[in-house]
Amino acid sequence: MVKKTKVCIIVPTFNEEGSIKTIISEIVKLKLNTTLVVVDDGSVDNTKSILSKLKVITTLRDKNSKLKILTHPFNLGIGGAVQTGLRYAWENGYNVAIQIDGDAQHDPKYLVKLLKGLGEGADLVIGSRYIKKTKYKTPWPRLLGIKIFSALIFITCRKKVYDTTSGYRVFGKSALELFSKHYPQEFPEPRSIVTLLKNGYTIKEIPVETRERTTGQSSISLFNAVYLMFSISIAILFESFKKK
Amino acid sequence: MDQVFEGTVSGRAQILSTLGSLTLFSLIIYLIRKGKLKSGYSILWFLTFGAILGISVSETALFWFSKLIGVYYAPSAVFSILIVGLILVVVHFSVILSGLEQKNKTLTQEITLLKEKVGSKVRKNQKIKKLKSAKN
Repeated sequence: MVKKTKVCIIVPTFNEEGSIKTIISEIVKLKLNTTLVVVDDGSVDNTKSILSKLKVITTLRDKNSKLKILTHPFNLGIGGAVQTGLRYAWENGYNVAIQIDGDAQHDPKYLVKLLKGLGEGADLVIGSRYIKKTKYKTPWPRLLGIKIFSALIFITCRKKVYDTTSGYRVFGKSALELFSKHYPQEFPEPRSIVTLLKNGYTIKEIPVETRERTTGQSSISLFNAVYLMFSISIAILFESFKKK
Repeated sequence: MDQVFEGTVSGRAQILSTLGSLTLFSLIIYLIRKGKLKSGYSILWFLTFGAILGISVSETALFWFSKLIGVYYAPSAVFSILIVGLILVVVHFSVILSGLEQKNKTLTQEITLLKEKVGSKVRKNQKIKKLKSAKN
């Protein structure tokens, strides 16, 4: 008997009042048979009230609306927010989870394409900005950092991963189970890639087009790019020594 | 070749060092008795102040210890113990802090998930109540 795939889309968000409505509306418009879980990571702007209004509107439109809003009492960081979503998904019997950042830089139109990638035997599918040339222009310090992380992952895990910091990812059942229990709080994207590769899981990258950020501020500013580059590199190296 | 271990500790320095370590020892005991410090967190403090007290009271112990760790100027041994003790305490607290941060994260997530669960149950009950009152 083939078990039905239950998909949960996780949108971590922190102070994204300008973009959260866009991303949720875009996902809802796709009319996928999935649950949409928005994790508000202790926002201090209008994100919370916008989310409450959206919840009311979607429930009025569709009585069986599957929009869930999880609100952290304070900010835990992107790792903590994504893990809350993963825990929700795992504890409620979902076998696939999709992470899509709340800044609306990722276009939800690729969701189906990414899900197909999972069906081809991967445990984690990354929506990659760098596997093919795209229109998106990454600021050079960030691009340099991503290239360094990619090289470090290749050295430690012998696998080339082009987009090590993408916030557009699909977790298969085994990755979902693993990360619902243990998910890095700091620099989660590159570290979780190392965890998976070191434990024999399969990662697949699928090219996606990314949009420029129109509102809000990136959680990584240019100012601390060097500090982050150093910290993430150390974190990747330590992660590669860790046991599952 | 015999190494020459130098340095003497003046009587005043010896008394001050002894009194200092005794005071800190008493402070740790006082904090434990008042319930402001858990005894598990005090072991490293006791070890550090105990060692300093030992070499402050006895000059023979100080010279023996200096020779053991290869410190030529004997009074520096007191500072070596203090520095090593403080580093160990800081590392110990870093480990505790990391554990607390992890627990804090898990607790926050647990509260968030429970809030959602309770919220959806309340909404469900409200719907049932509305339906029942509409029927009546």
